[in-house]
Amino acid sequence: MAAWGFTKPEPHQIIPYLKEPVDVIPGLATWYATTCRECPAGCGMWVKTREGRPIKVEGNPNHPINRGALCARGQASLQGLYHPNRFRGPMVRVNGELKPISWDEGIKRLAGAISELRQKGKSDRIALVTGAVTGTLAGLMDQWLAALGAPKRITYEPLGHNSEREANRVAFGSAEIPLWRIDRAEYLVTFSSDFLETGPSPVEHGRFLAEARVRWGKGQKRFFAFSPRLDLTAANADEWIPIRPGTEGIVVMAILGEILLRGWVPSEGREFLNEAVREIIPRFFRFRHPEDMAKQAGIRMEQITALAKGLSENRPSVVIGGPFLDVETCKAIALLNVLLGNVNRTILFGTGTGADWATDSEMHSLSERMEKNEVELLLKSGSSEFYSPAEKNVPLKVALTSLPNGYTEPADLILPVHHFLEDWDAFSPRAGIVGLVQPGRQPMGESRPLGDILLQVAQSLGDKTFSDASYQTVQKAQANQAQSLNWWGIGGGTSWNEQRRNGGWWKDPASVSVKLQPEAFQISFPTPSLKTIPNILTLVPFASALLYDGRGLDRPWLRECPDPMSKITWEGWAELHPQAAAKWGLKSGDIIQIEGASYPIETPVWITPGIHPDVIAVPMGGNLILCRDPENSCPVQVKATGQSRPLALAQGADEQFGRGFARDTDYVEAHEERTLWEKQHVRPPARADLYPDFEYKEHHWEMVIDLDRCTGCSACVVACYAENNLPVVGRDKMLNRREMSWVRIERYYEKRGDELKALFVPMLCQQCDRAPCETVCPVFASYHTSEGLNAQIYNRCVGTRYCANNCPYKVRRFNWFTYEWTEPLNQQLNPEVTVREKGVMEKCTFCIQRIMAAKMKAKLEGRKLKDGDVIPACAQTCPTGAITFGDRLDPESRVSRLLKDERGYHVLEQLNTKPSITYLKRVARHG
Amino acid sequence: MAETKPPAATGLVNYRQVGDDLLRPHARTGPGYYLLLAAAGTLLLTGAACWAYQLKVGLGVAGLNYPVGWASYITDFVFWVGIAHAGTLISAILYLFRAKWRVAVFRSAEAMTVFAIMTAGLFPLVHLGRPWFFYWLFPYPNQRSLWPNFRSPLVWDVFAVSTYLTVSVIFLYVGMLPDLATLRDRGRKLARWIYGALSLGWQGTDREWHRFGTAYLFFAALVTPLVISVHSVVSWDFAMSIVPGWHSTIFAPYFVAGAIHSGLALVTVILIPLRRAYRLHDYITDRDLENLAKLIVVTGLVMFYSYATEAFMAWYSHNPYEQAIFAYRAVGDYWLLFWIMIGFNSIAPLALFWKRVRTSLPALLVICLMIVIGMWIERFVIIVTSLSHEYDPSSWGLYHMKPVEFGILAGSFGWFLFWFLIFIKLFPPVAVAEVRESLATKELG
Repeated sequence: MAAWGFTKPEPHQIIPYLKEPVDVIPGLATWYATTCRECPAGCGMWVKTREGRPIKVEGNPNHPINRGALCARGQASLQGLYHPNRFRGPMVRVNGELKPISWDEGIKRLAGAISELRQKGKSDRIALVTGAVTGTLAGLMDQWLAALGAPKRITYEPLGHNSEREANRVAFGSAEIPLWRIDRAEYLVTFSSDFLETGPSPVEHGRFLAEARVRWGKGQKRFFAFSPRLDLTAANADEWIPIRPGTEGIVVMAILGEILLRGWVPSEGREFLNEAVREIIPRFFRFRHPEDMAKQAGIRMEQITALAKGLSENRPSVVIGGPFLDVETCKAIALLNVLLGNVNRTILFGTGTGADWATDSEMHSLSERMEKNEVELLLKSGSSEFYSPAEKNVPLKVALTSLPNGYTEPADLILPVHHFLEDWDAFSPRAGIVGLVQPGRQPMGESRPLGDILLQVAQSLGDKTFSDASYQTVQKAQANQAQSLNWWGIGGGTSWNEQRRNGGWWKDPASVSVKLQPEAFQISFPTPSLKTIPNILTLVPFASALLYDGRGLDRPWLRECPDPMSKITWEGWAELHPQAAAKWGLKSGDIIQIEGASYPIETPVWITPGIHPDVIAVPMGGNLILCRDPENSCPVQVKATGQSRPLALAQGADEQFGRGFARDTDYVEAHEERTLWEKQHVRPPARADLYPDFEYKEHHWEMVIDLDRCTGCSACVVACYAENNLPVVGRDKMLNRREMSWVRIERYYEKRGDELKALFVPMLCQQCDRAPCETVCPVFASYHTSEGLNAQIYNRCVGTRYCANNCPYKVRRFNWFTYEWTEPLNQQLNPEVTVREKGVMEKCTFCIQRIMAAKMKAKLEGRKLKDGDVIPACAQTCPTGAITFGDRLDPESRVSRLLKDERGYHVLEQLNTKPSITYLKRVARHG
Repeated sequence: MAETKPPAATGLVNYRQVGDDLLRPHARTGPGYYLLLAAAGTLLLTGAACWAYQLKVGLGVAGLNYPVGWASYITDFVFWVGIAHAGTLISAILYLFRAKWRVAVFRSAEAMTVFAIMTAGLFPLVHLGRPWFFYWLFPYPNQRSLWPNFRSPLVWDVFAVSTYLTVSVIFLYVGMLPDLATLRDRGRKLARWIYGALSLGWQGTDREWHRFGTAYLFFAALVTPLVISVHSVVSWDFAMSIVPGWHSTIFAPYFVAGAIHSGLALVTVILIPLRRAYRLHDYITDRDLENLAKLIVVTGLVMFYSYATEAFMAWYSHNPYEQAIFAYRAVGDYWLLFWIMIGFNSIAPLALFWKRVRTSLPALLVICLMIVIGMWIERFVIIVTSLSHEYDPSSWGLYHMKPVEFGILAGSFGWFLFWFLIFIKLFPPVAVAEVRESLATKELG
């Protein structure tokens, strides 16, 4: 029997601590405040550690940017810490293979290369490229480079909004990304901007949008998204207007022209009216009417007029441009915002975000220098996703990073740095906020903080100014002084410990008032050379919420979590409209070659109505994405290869066929979309119950999900994976529909007249009061608790799967195999939740471990549970607060109040399952 | 084919002759038998290996997924339980109706019943996620005072199938007592001793025959309701759920009719080569086969009616989910299987209306094979299409059978065939005592 592997696993020994560490009580979690470094948004984070291991990250409720929420990427940062492929120590590439070396050796090599260059007087041939850095670390880098005589550091963020920053520099004298106060806006127009997925601050802007939507309520449409594809932001808009990339500028000018020509400039914008009229109208509208521009862009004039009117009547508003627009379009948007009076009201400068990020021309010149062999030492640090084919000309490339990926592949020397969850640092996403980064555990391997590496190299070169023992010393000294970190006049007065406990310090800075510069009016648009040329499509790279610019590719959770719009997992794809696909006779899964970009791409196709017919969209990362000409749209050719590969889709059908899963309302009874059942006038009879009602004495747990707030970002999905020890199954099993996610976001396309909409509904176990799964389990593994939950007893389950068949919501998940966690990913497992073996059914438990923990805590404190004591992982992380959880028996709880909302409905109500989850219909605005 | 006369009329057959003819498989075994046994054994071992692999690695080696949590294993289970019903119909129900022609065929049919239930009983074990805990479905005394969930149709299955197995085995055994005595009388040494023990000291006295007849009558009456109830209970695995396409009141009679339909077809498929191999043409006459064919026509018509009713009620009910399922079955991803099901199960048997077809052995064999395959496909279509296309559109998904599942299906046929072959070697495939009895009645009357 043993040979067949049928023996039971050996029990592990549990040994108590001989000497207990100070902070740790075994069995209780210790929390540390830190800052997320997955993207430049810089959300505050609380790290939950158990026995010295971070097992879950949550948002810092005190942090002004994210207020306790965290996006999917933030949740998945744990997998960056525990990634099995992390560099264990310094490595050097010998004959194409990486060989481990000691730190002394590594530092010596780097110092040696630097000193060699210095001796030859060629220290200008050193280049340091990094991702966004601020504060002490940035200062240290600058000091270090200056001491070496090297050029300034290049801070590269692929989604750096380079054009916008340049446009702002020209228009307002400040090359930064302003803060968009969408929550104060009465009207919102975006141009190819996916701010909900990619930033610059997705969690914050998600919250802003949710608050704006709640304030807008019903009525006329307020949020219009011009976008080549139906991305998450466009799906959350009141209307998605498909647009060909490259024509956004003309549309902006058309709107601007309408406003000027019709005299609709509001009073707040009158300051520059005369100048605008003088500069803009003769240049643009002498021989052209906005109508011609609209026609050129393929947009209906009525829409332009309506938008112009809407913007002028609903103030303040916000007009946002995306990261891939060109400078002229961004200038036009800046101008539009000024004339609408948005600048200094809803668009606030003085953030400093991105002020020191490299411009496009600086990146170009770096590539050119590399081509001309003028760069002999290239240092790539941290999360910088920089890669240029010209790198092959650089003799020594050093990667200061923790995980191998495509960008470290050419590196000759690898000096691994800490992951931020084991590191000391500080990050300031904008003026007034300094987030501290402190470690949640001892370092996993032999990596070192980046600051330490720089200090040690400098010391090795004999530079006496860098005498500090470590970067932590540097930072602590500067923190204690408070002056040096007093970037924008804050800090001081709090001790180092207090700052660490808080996670940093912040105050509302006075925003800097900016004035429009005259150069802003020098806008010139080349006529877009792109008509619809047959067989030529425009390539649109996009960053998804999960993969971002490609840095999410390393995280198994982010690969397994379906992309919010396409629901594809584990691979890249190219989105095509059915019309375009018909031209090449393509169907989903066919592999195509795209030619015309920086290098050819081979990828499978996904056919969707949610894209402009002349556009082909490819997610960033893995698959490339640099266009030859970033200023203009990228025309490409598509060739079918004749091969195909099935796409690992996590969703079966894309429409709901009137079944009423995701519903919206505009409060007009006549417009209500009747579900199929409602059309048949089928209602369950009042006394249709075979069994008596359950009696709930203490608690009756209830959840309300507000679809008006849900943006579909899937942060809840990843948080659930982290909290409940959900296994990642991989592409092969995803192809066979073996996913283990307990909560999923269903995305349904709806055609309303001419418009295409996408509706999202998070679907998780509804914890039905009349659960169809409970009656059919032969062994009572599925049963009803005294608090209203449908509990699953893992060790009673024999695996008949009848419960999964009988669940109409299909939320039950079966363990088809005993899944393994590769070391050290298993260190992330939550000790409060069972790890299930094969043959056992599982599903969402409303985080019963959190409910029990809260009850025990209340009992120890001798009080009753209050509303807000229990927060399941999904509700905790939701950036928009869409999920509310609480006790229905408590009349003061938030859920009790939300349950009375007229928008409430149950999914598949006529089945009389009496779910404990009430959904609130999304508010649809019309007009 | 010429109308066969009862053997007694020709005066060629006596009791001894009957015994010799019918016990020929018992006496002599040719190489063909051993070859077939080896083939059955190989299939059986293949199935066992597949199952062992599945036990080790997990159910994921089958093609099951979300949303299709039940597929080939449950199909196999329902299929085999269904097969069993025809045997009981022939031996018990036809006995109560005093259909004399059943004499030659009922023993094989009963044996088929018992082995079919034994095969079916394997499949709940195969399809469980943790089969080593299968006994939790039984109400046994345990220190945690746990009962199984009696509301669950799966627990009803446990009782129904185990009752059916128990009663069928006893029915078969008791009915075989006189034949076991015959074997004892003909046997030597060890065989004599074993059959002696099995025959419980049968002497063939008048009193024993009288009691035997009464007992047999009672057993027949007891087993008869099981024909209806067992498969009704099995069908309620589906009908008691809320799955569209399953939740329908027609399931009980529909499945019972289907069970009998498939069972009769498999009995015919077994009998035709059996009588050829052992030259039992005088006993299993063409008339008997024709009667079986006539029964198949009846059940085929009932199947046709059931399909039509289901479709009609789906349309008439205006239940959008029910309608969606039926549309999906007819034109969706599994449309080919659906139309094969309709054709093989309800259209093909209509050919048996014509005497020429009924009496042509090749045609009969082919049609019965089609029915067996079609009935398996019917279970598959019902289970898989309903689960593929349920309430939640984002959960719609397809299912494909994997090699492991084919292996286990083949293994189940191997297991069945293996036991059946052993049976006809050790026991008479035609009831010797009853044939002699019918001889006697002919002589007297």
